Amino acid sequence: MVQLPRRQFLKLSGAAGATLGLAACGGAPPPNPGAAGGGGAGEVVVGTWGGDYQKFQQDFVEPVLARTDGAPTVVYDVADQVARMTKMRTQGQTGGPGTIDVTALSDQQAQEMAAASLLGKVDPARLSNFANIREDFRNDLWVPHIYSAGVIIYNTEHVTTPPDSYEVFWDPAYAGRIGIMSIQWATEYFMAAALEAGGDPGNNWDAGWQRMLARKGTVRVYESQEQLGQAMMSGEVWLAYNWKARAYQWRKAGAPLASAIPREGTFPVVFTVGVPANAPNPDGAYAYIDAMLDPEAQEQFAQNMGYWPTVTNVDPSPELTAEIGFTPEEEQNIHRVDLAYLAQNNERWRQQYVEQLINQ
Amino acid sequence: MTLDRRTGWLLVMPAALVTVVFFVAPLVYFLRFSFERPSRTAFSEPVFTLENFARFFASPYHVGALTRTLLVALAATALALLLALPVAYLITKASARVKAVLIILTVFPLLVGNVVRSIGWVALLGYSGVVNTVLTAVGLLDAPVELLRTATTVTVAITSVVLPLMVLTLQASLESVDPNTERAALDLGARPLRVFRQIVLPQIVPGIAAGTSLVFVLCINAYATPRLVGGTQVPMLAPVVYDTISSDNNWPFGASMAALMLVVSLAVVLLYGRLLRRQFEGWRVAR
Repeated sequence: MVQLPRRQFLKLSGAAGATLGLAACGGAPPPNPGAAGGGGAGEVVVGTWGGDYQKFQQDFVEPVLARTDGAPTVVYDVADQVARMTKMRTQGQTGGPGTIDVTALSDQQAQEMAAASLLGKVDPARLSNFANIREDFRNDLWVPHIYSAGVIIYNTEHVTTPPDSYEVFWDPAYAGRIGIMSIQWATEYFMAAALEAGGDPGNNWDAGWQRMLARKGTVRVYESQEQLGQAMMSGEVWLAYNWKARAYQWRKAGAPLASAIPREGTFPVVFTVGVPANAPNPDGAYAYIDAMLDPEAQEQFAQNMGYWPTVTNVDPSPELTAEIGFTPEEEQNIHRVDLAYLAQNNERWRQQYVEQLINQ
Repeated sequence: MTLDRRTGWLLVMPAALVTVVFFVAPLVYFLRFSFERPSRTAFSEPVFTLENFARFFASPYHVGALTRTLLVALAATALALLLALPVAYLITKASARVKAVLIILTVFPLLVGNVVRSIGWVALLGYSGVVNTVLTAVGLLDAPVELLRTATTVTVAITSVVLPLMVLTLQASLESVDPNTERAALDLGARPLRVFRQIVLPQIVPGIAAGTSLVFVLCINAYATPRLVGGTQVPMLAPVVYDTISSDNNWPFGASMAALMLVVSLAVVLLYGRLLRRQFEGWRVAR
């Protein structure tokens, strides 16, 4: 057995004690060398979803980033958006530097984080591609990355008459064949409210609640997009309201699916990126976000993930446009939603949805 | 050799210190939120209130989740005990070589994480899973049926998670039973089942108490299995606490549920331990 000399043992235990003590006191991490670098050199931590999204970031964003001067090394902090938001809130409470430089969230969640002062204001001067962002998506809270809108997705073998109204989700003929997600209450609220209002529900999504309740027992509930996708592809369910990008992905996997924009109108989803207010390397963050807006990276995301670009200097092929894009007439039917209104009602809606509709 | 009191305390101190700093302190820090108000911009609003507990008991959904959690934990514990007893007994009676193999087989599922095992259940019981496919293929079912997202399936899945722990605890207890007591009973003409019931079982009551308490607490706090196998449709407390904190950013309400889970777990384990000890003492005195 190795004998540890007494002096060495004391030295080691002293070091261990000091480390533990520092950890317990929340000692500040060493300064990030990239923070001082103009181009964001050093390390940039990107809080992101795992799976395809991260893979495409690695495949299509990093090569663009690598071409910039003093490009930072990219490290991914992979988690679902809920965990990422909790991390941001927790780190924000400590008042010290955070660990995330770029955070990927949906527009609604980014709005929540901005309202809690956890996101820094976007500085257009630091993004060479800012001028290419679609005008209606520009704001100072977050940077739009990819975009799609809600559509009715249906199985063409079982739903032979293409549906053009949300009414199909209340059709008793399809009871038990409609898939919804436990994490996507906003889409279901929008549908019911849009029906109730005969179109754009504005800021009265609660108006559709009784209609929503009428669906109890007629829907099958899934916990994630992947589970719902599996159910749509296997024929377990025939109808769902989801992003057009998802219809494209599932159809690409060989499922007999089609999509339609309901005549009552729909609403967009924008997946965004932002720089947390306590980001240790904001220069690196802006360099990374700029690469995400690059037309080359945007086109690849469109082709591979099915989301429409948020910049105007990309020109997808007519075939791809038909699959994932929206005609000018369809765009007219995509209503902008009041994200602050959604953020304000989010908790109450989620509870109502889970407790009274989903819970059997 | 016995240690004097002072040396004993000195030996305990490092572990106690680590427990206090890394377990008790964060727990107390977190549970204090249960007496505060939710805030949209921070963890909580620092005022003393019992509103969170009142809200919990006024909500049929949350009381239902607590009741379901307790029932599932009780059922899974009972099922695990029932299934583990014969296995543990078999291991005890096996030769040294077979015993080693059986113990490895018992421990093997513990090497695979909860999440992976739960996904295994999903693959097995899902709409296009093995069970539905086979039953539909042989004509026993016209169409696949919903086997997941039920409290029964969650109970069975949780049982499978805790079973190895129950087997190992009972086996340790059975090893300490003097085989001569069994031999004596058999010599006196008792049938094997009666020997097990009247001679072996009473001697392993402390082991049963330890195993069932451990397993019950694990079941009450189960997260991955109810989340993946039951989904949102079989709400149990641990996932509900997580959603309340993460999705709603409502730390005070989440903390109040966590506090209730802690109190209920402690109360059940203490009461159960006391009851079982009384039974055990009663048995010893009677004999």
